[in-house]
Amino acid sequence: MTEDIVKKYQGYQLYGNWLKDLNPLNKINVWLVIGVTAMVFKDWRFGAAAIAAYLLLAAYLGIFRSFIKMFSVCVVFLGVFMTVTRVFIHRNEGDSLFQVFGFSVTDAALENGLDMSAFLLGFSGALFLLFLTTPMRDIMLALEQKGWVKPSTSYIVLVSFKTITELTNNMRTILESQKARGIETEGNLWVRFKSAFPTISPMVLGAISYTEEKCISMESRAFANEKGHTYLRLFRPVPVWEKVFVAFVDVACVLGMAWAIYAKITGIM
Amino acid sequence: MAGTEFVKMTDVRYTYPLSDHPALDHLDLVLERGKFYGVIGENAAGKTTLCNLIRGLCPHFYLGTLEGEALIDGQDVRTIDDQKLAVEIGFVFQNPFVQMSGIRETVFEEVGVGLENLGIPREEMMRRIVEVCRALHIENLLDKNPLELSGGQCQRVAFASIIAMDADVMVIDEPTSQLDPEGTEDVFEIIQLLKGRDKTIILVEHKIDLIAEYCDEVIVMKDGRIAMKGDTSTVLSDPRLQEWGAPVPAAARLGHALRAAGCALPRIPITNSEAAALVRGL
Repeated sequence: MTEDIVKKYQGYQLYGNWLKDLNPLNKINVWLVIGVTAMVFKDWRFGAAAIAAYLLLAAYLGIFRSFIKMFSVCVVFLGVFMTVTRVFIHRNEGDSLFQVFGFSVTDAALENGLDMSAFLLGFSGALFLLFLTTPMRDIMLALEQKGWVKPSTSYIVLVSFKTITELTNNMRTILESQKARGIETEGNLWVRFKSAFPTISPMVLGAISYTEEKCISMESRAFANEKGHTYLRLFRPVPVWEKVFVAFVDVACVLGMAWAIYAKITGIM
Repeated sequence: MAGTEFVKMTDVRYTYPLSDHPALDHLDLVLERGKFYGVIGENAAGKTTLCNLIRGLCPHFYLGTLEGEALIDGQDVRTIDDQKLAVEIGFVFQNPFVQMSGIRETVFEEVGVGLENLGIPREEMMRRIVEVCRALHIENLLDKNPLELSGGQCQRVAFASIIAMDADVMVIDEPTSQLDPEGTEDVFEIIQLLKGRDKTIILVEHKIDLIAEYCDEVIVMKDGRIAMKGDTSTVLSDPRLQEWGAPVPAAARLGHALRAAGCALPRIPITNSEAAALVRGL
């Protein structure tokens, strides 16, 4: 078992899927440029095609369930809300299609709403795919290995994400212990306000103490050593085909954006 | 080299920022390389502050006021490079969970954190990680997430991370205070391993029977000063231990009680095995 683990670290960090195995910085490049292209198009037909493509890609990458879980929340809160808001704001433009609760839904308003939703969902879909296929630690490691961030900066960014979860758990524990001491934490706004200080102050003090111990612990691991840093995990050197692929996506998206802008100016779209 | 002076403190007085009273007061101490020192005393005696001073955290991290002469390996602790101290002196403390970096997905990577920071070549890193995990019997944890480990397991991993860095000196501050008896046993197994590797160990502990078992010398602290320092047998059999607020080994208490009852004990035992041997000889 030990030999298997050592072998895993002796090789490059790969996930067994060519898209997931792209260098994290290239993945950021690809997904962001696709997302921005969807925003520039700002067209519900392009948006629908992009979302369909995202779903297919999510299935191909083996992250369909996680993607659907996150994206469906986005569709409801951003997509539906934006469409309804825009339909309401622009209700006096265009021809009426149907009535809902006494309000007229016009073709122009509906198209405006769907275009705006496509704008938001097109970008957020790409962003979700980026973060579902690229753990934050991979992004920070790639930035470190490129020399763009220091290992200490990378550590601070990564531990901040973990600290949010830990502080949330601590908050729950503190709430339970304060309840056991007779402090009311549930009820009307005034009751909750009164319980804020005895709940938040132990959490803040605990966080300060935790940070102090964490600093000492990291100090013991030569955290602040500036003289060279090596890595257990390594990404493979970027192959030529990956560079070509990324360049192709960039060029295609830039051309697509240029066409979208031209089409809007000339009234084609 | 064993026997050479490593720590020399002369009339040291240290006060934490915003504090009225010194945590260490007119402290004189010499520690030699290659020995295993146990530090005991009541709460607020200055044990942790002594560890922090040796490790350079006082005054570099905690700031505060340091008076007197405090030399670590011949260099004044005020001007010593704290990065050098981080490499030469390993530090393990109470809370096992906070000693995990929090950003590594496996124990294998966690043990390698210090080695990465030191710039150790990759192959050498992996060799050291495997070697130290084998020695500490945590091979079965190598692919586990450090955040899912128990307290005892985390403490073993914390030790592994520091031992992999191969520091000659280990400062260990109450490593078992948050552990169950099984975890405590695990930690002392590791400490015995370190002793076998001729490391200089400074251990702060309240579990006096284990101090009696393993330490070469014991330092008793009270009110920021050294009340007594010497050979483990001599210190732990001294009747003034309780007066200083320090814990007394059960075997020593038995010895004092037997002497008080008129038994002619040749010496006061400090471990259970010594006590058993003495009682058999009566």
